[in-house]
Amino acid sequence: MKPEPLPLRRANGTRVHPATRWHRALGIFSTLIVIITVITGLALNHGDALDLPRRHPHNALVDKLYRQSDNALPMGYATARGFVTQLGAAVYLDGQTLASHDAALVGALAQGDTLLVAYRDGLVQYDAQGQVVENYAALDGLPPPLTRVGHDVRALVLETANGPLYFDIDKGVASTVPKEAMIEWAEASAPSAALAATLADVYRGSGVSYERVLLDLHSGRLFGRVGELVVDAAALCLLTLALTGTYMFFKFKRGAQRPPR
Amino acid sequence: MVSTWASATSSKRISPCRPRQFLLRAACAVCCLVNVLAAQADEVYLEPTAFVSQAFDGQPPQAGKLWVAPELNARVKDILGNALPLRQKYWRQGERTVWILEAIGRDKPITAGYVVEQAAITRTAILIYRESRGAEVRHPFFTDQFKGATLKRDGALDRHIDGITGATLSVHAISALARVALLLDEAARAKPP
Repeated sequence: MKPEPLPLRRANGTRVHPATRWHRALGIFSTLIVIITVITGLALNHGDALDLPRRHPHNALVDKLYRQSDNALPMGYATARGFVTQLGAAVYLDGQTLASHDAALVGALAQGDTLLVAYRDGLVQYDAQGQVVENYAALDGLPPPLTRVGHDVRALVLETANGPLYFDIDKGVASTVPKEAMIEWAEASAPSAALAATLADVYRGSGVSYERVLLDLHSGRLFGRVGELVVDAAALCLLTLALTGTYMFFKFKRGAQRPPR
Repeated sequence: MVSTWASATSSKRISPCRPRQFLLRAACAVCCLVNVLAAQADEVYLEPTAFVSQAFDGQPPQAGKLWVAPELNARVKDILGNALPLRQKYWRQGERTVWILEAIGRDKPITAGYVVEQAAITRTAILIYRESRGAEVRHPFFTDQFKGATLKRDGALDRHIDGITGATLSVHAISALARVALLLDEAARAKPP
């Protein structure tokens, strides 16, 4: 059932001023947002008393909105040195931070104490302590993007933009792989349940605080750019309410003082 | 969007857009524009291989490797905030060395190339820029300031490098890398070719 439009005339037949109609319409439109903004604003003003910065909400909606879900945990690569995975730019070896690398992880292999981690933009060699020994990329004959890492009986193999290439780590030289080569590629796999739990904790830490959630709700940022624009629109509505309210106050005051016709 | 356009052009008479539809379409267009602007890819201004080749007039020597000693890496860490790999690749011909180095500007690494000759920088180039803003550092008006720069005894550059408004962190990163390139050149020249 459609709501009835705002009457243009009062019961006594006098015309309702346009400012009054705008005032009503904008008031109704912005009510919900004003309520949310006021409540969150009050809570944020007393954030310390309410312990908001140190309390962390954990529920499906917040996890989804802040991408804290365990489903976001990616696959990784099991090596003799441990399980290598990447969350955002952080690269982990068995739940310990190994490095920070922007390009996507595409494979990992261990050769003795050496850990070889392939990213889309190059190969990185780590020593037993997790220090970077050397970076290898296009300058070493490995044209990006690298897509896989593996080995055959002879040597390390990397799948590059030019197809699979043998790569000699000691000399830093790439060479072509014969078609008959039997390459065993590093396969991505899911971490064990225990490691997944550790990674989830490392990934989200304690999670976002109530203060952050309330602040994002207050500004509309919780719902992205659209949320921000809606809150901006509500703020403009409030400004209009103030202006139309002031206008009506003075107009009706003058009207009340006007002698009756 | 394509289908909307197709249906609009296939129809002989285009109906006037209602205000609500117009606002909706305008909002969609703004969202698309924001997405396009946000998804900025890496900018490759000069391939590292091309930089090395240019530095040696098209005949680059084979790459050498410098073992970065712990005390040298500690100095590098003081300058950059992070250590270098234990083995650093470089190219050398006579007194000329070429270095391709990376440093974080604000969030992402900037790849820069330096040509050093007789302990002074002769060329600086921004090869790959990954930050969302501050790419003005690639222009010659900025990189030419490093021409002839050497290291003072305290490890600072012998000259003031003018900054660029809005690119402060990138300017710092490129200046820091210049110091590192000169330090590495010193270490490389200390060992026989």
